[in-house]
Amino acid sequence: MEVENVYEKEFIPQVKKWGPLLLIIGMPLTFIPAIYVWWAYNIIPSGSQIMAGFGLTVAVLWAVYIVEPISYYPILGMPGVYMMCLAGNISNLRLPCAAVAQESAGVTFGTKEGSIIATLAMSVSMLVSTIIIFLGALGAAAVLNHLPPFVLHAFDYILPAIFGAIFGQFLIKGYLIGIIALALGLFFNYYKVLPDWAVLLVCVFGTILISRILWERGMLGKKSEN
Amino acid sequence: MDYLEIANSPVMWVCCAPGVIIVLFEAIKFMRLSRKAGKDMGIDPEVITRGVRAAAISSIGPSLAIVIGMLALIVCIGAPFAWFRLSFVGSVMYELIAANFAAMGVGTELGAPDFGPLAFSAALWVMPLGALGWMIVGAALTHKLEFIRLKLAGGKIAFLPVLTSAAMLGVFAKMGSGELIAGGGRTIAFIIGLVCMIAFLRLADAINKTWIKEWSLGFSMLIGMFVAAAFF
Repeated sequence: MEVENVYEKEFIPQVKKWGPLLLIIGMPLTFIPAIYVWWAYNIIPSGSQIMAGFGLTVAVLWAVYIVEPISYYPILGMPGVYMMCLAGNISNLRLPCAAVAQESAGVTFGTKEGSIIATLAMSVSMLVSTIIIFLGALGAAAVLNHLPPFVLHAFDYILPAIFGAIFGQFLIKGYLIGIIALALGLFFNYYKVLPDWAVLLVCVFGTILISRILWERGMLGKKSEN
Repeated sequence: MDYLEIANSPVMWVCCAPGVIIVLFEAIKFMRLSRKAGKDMGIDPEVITRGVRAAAISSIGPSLAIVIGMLALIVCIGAPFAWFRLSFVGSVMYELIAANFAAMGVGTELGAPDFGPLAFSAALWVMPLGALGWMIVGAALTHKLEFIRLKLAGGKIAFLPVLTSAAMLGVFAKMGSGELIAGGGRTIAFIIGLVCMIAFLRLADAINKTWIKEWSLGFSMLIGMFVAAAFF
């Protein structure tokens, strides 16, 4: 069967079925621990106490709920966004993982093949991280007590190093776009004229729009290839 | 009875398991779907194997970073719920913020001496409640988002790969510029990670060894974090 047909007629319909279904099944399951402690020990805050905490959380995050799926969709496509909404840890784990997997497999980002490999990579990362976090929950404290302080200190710098590596991976695909993206990020992160969620939007969609203008003028050297 | 005995009890592990099982189920389901689609689309099995191997290797380091962040949660909400929260929607940053807000709702703070049974129960409610936003938006909106991608590309399929790279650069420029502004070890770790990644990818292409790409994130991460730790 043709590539287009397999992807659009077989893969995406399955993703559209299972993605929302698992999110909906997952919603009530997340309250089992809370209900258990309430039922077995009769420990529960008052409604207004829960609403106070919930209200603070929503006040900070309401925009993030919407901005993240929209901003990550151009990268991850439909399957990836369903997976990120269920399993989280997107910029620190799933995106870097999907990016390196596509690089290693030698598929092009944004194509159907790329989307298949990215979906596969995110599935693998969900299995691996769940197991590692489980082992960590069982014995993290015990192991960490035996690590030298220097190693523990180095863990403070894991995230910046991951961000740098993935930025570097994409920088070599287009130095010009990369520098523009970084300039946008530096400006808005430094002057703080926008809330954090808006900076994500501006960086992602600003970079896309600028690259579209450059691409249409043949300034990215890609148009002629296609 | 100390609430942490409840929080770390075997029943608590059982209560937290269903949510994690949904995540594992989705991982296996989507893995099968994409494997089958890949096969039917004629993607070389070797290409798929390389992708899976790279994904597995690249997941280890970031997962360990999550474990480190989890410690702050474990001491307050117990290991099972921390495991569930970090395998499920959200991230270490989100969970810490939500747990702290939950505690504030009952008049204490995350890690404060008076963080007791009530604050624990508040966390059990507020952390999943706060994460519902992603799940609702995900379930309701995701299938409608394809139009944004097509609109941005203006119907030009050839632009989609450029668009994806640009979006990726946008995301990590946003994260990275924060690290550059932070200064000190974080800036150094970002720059070293960046330089190492470029060097590894160039090297892999130059000597035609794909395994270097599979390890590139792991190596760049290790070098970046230890060089930064050595100087700061």
